Amino acid sequence: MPVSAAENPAGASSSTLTDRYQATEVRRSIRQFIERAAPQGVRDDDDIFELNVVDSLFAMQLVLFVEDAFSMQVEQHELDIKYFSSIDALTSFVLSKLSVADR
Amino acid sequence: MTIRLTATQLDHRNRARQFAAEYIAPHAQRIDEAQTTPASVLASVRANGYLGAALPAGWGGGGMDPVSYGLVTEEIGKTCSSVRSLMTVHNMSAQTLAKLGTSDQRERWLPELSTGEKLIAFALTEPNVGSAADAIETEAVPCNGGYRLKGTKRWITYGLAADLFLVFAQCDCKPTAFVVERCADGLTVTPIENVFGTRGSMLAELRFDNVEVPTSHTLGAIGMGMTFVANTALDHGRFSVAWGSTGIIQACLDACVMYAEHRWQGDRKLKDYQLIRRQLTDMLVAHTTARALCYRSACLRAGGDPRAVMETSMAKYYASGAAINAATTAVHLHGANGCSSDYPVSRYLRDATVMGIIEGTDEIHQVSLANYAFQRPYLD
Repeated sequence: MPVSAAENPAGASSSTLTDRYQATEVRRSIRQFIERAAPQGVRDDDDIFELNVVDSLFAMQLVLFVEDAFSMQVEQHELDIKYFSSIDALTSFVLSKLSVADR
Repeated sequence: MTIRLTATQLDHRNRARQFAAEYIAPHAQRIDEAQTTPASVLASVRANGYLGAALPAGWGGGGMDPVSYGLVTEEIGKTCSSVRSLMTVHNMSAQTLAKLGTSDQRERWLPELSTGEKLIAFALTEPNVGSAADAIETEAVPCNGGYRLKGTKRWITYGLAADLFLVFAQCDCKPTAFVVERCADGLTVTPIENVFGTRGSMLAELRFDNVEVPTSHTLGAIGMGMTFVANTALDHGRFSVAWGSTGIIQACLDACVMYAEHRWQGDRKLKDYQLIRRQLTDMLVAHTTARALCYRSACLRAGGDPRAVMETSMAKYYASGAAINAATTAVHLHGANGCSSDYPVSRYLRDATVMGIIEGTDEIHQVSLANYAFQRPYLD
């Protein structure tokens, strides 16, 4: 389930603050990382945890991946599985944080 | 990755080695026999800063880097697994609070946890629930201004000594973490005695009989208790247990080298028998391998590398198994003496066996590491 702008923790719409190229690169990078654990492939809106594509420890890896790949800190209030459950959700989450950082 | 230790890391290791020799080793056998950790030992661990060793310096902790903290853990674990388990549970719970706590929670608890003035224990396991932790039966029912906890936790390391507990309960079927103070009304702490290994770790059963916990004591979001809170704590715990297990292997090797050098059988010393030499070789290689995996885990953690989670699991899985093998060999090498409390190797074997169960059983790690194998980390 994609995260809506209303659920966006940074409170901003990504499309107004980031260009299409950045969004594409973020999505590509996230997909590449997730598909290492799910080589059978996942759709952008697949809930990787509900589908048991990955185990719960992968959520921890995802947090570290986001912090490492996009040079950002995931805050304690952002540690909610809804931001990490799909490629769509995580892309929205990362873009919203990047857009806040750009302000 | 470099494994050349810095001057600071060497200093931490040497000080921990000296501390363990002076303040823990003289009590290690007694801790095992009496099934408790003397207040004087707890006080010395606290006074030397080992309870908050890995906590941020900004809160009064030691701010140790992962390699230094690991080396300290190996030295303590080499000497006494019970005392090492105190460091494990306190640091894993307090580090989780430092990472996931709100600013109010950090300000309230971290200063005293960093100095060790207060101890915190990790309360996940229950009488009916071990590895399948999502199925915990303890309930948190919303009530005015907070939650009411009802249920039982079992096998809580240093539960008898803790001032705070990191407790996991189902909140409307969503696993959630809470910080509960020992003085809370309705909380009963009962000792568990006559366990097989780490006998001095002051195990307790906790009974929550409608214990009221304010909303401000919820750690992390509702429903995120396992995915982020417990997994964060267990990740820190595995790192500590991996180094502690490496310490047990080192202790076994040390005991066996000394025994083989001095023990005569027939016309030769044990060290001159080829099969004994093979056992020492296997133990030495196991220790070097376990420590290398621990170093790798520590370096990845220091760099915030996503692989750190699973590489820590790998280090724990290997080191705990190798510790059991090394301790089994050590008992055999000592012959009948190995079965006696006159020598420490039987304690090492009992303690090593516990290492293969806590912070995820071998079987749990086998399943999750197989998932990791499909990520093909060996190609990196």
